[in-house]
Amino acid sequence: MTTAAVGRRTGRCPGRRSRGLLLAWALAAVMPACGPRGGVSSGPVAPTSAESDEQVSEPREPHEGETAPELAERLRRLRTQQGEYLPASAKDPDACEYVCSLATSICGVKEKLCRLADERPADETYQQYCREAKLACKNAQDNCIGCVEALEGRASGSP
Amino acid sequence: MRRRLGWALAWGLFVPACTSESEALRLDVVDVELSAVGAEARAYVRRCAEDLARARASADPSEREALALAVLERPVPSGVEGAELLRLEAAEMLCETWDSDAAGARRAVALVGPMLAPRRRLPLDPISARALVCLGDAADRAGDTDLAATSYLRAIRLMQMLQEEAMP
Repeated sequence: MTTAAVGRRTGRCPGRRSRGLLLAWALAAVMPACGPRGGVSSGPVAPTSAESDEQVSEPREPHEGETAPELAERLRRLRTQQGEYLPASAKDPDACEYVCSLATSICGVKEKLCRLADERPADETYQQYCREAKLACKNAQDNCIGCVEALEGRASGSP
Repeated sequence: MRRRLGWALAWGLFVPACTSESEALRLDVVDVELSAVGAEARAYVRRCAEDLARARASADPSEREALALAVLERPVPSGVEGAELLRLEAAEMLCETWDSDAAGARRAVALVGPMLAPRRRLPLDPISARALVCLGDAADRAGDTDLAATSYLRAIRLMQMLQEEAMP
């Protein structure tokens, strides 16, 4: 691999600056539902200064139940919601192309690094570098696959 | 007392070893965007961008070298944010151009190495990753395998950050 193989994308990821905002919004929307007493449809509830700690911890919505079928139903609804909270970049084929090109580059550099390690089998530092590079390559490939699957999932409408 | 001295000696041997390895692999990144405020700053960015585009398009190594050197030699006016990106791209271009024999590789290491030194904060950008890979290639060709290995690993770590950032 030449150095040119590392993505030439010099522009920034579209919508990157708003990712923190999207994540915060998605978390704010999902977090109340994740609590043991939180309702899926409830929005974030901020305590007012007049409220005591006891008041804040009071359940504000009907108890959804903790039986297996009730929990399974809640999980199903959360999964559906999670799909809706995917940021816009999940719908962007260019984002996956970039993610996958980085995976290719990472694995290409891993080859170079592990070749150096192969030439020094007794050097534990080089072996450690090679192991880290192999793991990075595998994770990067998994990210590429995950990105494409998420994109396909969005395209087919399944969560 | 003897035991304490033993611990101190062991620690004294251990710490420098750890420090040198982690220092060689240190990777501080900074998120920068290229922007220019003011006529002089905009003219600088435009000239650099034109030179780099011509260099990329050129099949003549000497022309590519001259254009990339022009970018590096041009003084950066105030008001340019992220000028390091332009300079790194020029340096990476020179590194690729020079890295064809041992002498060129040593020249490439001398140029790009200080720009990518572990103590420096690198732009979180594919350009930094490409430059680190080129530094690794040049160092390998020049016979400095330790620099090659640490540069490759830093490049991988930086690309991991880029990938995490781009993940949906």
